[in-house]
Amino acid sequence: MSGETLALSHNGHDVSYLDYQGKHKGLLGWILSTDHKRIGILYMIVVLSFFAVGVTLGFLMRLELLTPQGTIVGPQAYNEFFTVHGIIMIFIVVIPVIPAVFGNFFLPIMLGAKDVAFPRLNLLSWYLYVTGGAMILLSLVLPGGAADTGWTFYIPYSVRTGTNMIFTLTAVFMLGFSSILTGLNFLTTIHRMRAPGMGFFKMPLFAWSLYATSWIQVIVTPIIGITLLMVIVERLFHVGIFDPTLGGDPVLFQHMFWMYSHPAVYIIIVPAMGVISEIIPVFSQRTIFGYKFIAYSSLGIAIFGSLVWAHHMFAAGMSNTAEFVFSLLTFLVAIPSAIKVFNWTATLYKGSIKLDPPLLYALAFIFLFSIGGLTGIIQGALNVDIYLTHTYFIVGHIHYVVFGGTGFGLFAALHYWLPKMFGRMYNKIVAKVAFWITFVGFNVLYFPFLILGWMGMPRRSYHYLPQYQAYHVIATVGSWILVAGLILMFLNLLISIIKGKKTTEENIWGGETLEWKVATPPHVENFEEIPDIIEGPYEYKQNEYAMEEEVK
Amino acid sequence: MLLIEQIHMQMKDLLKIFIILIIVYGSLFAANESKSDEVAVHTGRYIPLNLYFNDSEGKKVQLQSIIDKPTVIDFAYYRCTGICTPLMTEISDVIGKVDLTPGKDYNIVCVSIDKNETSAIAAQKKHELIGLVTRRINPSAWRFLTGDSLTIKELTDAAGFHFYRSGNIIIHKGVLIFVDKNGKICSYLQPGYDRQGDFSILPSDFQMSVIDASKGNLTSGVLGALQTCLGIKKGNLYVFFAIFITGIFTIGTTILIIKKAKPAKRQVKV
Repeated sequence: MSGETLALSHNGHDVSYLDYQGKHKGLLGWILSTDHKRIGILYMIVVLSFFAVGVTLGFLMRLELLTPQGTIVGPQAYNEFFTVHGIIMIFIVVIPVIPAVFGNFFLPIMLGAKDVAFPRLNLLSWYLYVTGGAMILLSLVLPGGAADTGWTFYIPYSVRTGTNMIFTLTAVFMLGFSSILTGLNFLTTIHRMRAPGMGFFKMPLFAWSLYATSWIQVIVTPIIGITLLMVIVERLFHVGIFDPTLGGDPVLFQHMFWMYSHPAVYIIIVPAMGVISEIIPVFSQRTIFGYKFIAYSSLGIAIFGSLVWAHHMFAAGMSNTAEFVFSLLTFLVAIPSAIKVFNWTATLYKGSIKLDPPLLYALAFIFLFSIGGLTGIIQGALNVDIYLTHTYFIVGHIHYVVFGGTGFGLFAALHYWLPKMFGRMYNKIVAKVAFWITFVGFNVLYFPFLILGWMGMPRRSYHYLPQYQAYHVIATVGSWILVAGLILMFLNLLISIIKGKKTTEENIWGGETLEWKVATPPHVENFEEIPDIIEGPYEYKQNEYAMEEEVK
Repeated sequence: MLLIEQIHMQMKDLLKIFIILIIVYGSLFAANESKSDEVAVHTGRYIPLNLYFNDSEGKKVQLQSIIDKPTVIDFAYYRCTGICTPLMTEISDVIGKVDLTPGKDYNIVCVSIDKNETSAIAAQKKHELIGLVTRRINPSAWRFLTGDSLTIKELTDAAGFHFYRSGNIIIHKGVLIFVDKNGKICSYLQPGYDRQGDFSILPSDFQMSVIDASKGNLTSGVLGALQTCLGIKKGNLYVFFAIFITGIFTIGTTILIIKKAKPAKRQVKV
């Protein structure tokens, strides 16, 4: 991809977005800014703060499960822990993190635009998001206690619990609203603000992933919003919608919940796949293999992923025909994911591989997500799922997909783009050490979950039979290793932002997409002149020629 | 005077009607009270261990002497043609599936809720059920008790277990109650159903409840688990239709915004 000109004038607009002082100064200059880059940073601060809370709760849960009987908390506290852990990690961290942080920051730059389509709406999304998140935290300390239903809010728990359910549901509703607005903003930006010459198939794959994700966000998020509102109405006015004692239908709730929440898994994972699609060509210096297949597979995941929701409900009671259909669709949705994995590995083949931290995390993503995906296929089989659905196997599977996938995708993105965002480089050796600790800790923590589940260990339980203890002890030790790795990784990144080695090099990693052709850190306006796009986003021709010569 | 007498007479009639109504409503209410088959969760409370029952050999035994370790109590009646025998059969099945040893780690006590049942009937049931257990079991680990109506009621009331007679049968729920060695109620375990519709007790649930009772831990068990027949009602299909229409509307609006909305022009003052 080549820009016609990226030269910046000296008219006062060529200052870094970090140093720029506009209408407001100091903190107000950030929290009232409509600059997509500053909003991205605001999201990053809040998301990572919540991530720390979620990790802490998870850490405490693992500590509780160190012994078969209660270790540090009782059953009620444990219920609240895993509920709030789930709500924070799903609704506040992994759903928004990559689109809201890196999508906001880099999507307009990658498209050759100066901002998103609706900057004010973008800021409103952040405020809605922060309000929703704050409400979740408030529910922890308000009388009544945090929600204890699990993050799925299943009926009848959510209509009967005495905890701060309405507060929590309202919070999730606001988070959903924020998500819809972000999706709408991105869709309009992608359709209307691409640089001249940038057709859809000259867009970077990260933009493609955000495009697919945004459609899911816009179409399915209203369903969860309406569903949660109905639960609120049911609690307040005792209208029989879902509660069977009032004539409602609990399975209806499950259908509506999963109509959103399964596609939400793809809202979670597809942007991370976009990150990986950016990193792999850069660190192997190869044109990505199967660009169109990867792009279409994002849409394929979005479409098929929206049709498989009921595979979460094989044990809830459905007709055999419905179970068969949803099982079949579940197998089908694996195909586009597998296409991506195949294309990434094919891109790496004979590439000039640089094992820098972003690529390490990207490779970990492929490994961990493959385990997560394959364990998902296992559960797609009806008879196996009936046995596994209420066991730790599910817990292991979701963590391999969500944490191993999106979590490691996030870490990859942080190590890839943070130097660009702040103009400071982190310590690569420390980053690699942190990676290995995190990777080992992750597997020591979560792989025993799969074994435990296979042995029949029920999930959501604060205590367990003694025969499971050995694996729980291994998992808890894994949580200590993982947390140590995370602390080291984030400290390294934080220190780099504050006093890391300054870099003004535009193309830090040797990328070909537009963000590597603007200043480091980017200027307020991104581009002085909007570039004309004449080539695709991954043109590593020199390397390709060399390969062809070698083949000859 | 005549008017006063008339009013007096009418007042007396009204009073009679009022009294009759009170009696009718009272009896209806009383009937409702006595016709409950609910199980009230009394976790944390104690059952009276000073009560005496007859065991299957006809001996008088005090609960204190039987409940000296974690104990599973099953209220049933031995000639029941409904859920009692399937539940007791399921107990005999689960005994063989858990790692704990009856008599050593826990006891099982079946208490007949039919005052008319005798030790001979209890003995026959015991013989029949212990024969189904797939592991060696000390007969004293699984007791079959009978008693008089007052003793039965005192025990079942303390456990929150309600039942009533309807003709020749007794209406009641099937539930296992786990108590610790002091008689403290630790948990209630309501069996689920397998795909054939038979009672099914998960060995892990059973074992966990015994372990909890051995430590005196109170747990919610799975009593109150949804036993509703689950499945989307046809009447609810309108919801899916509404979602479909809403989806079309959402997609339409989004496309309209994408096509027609005017993206903001970048302002330098951000």
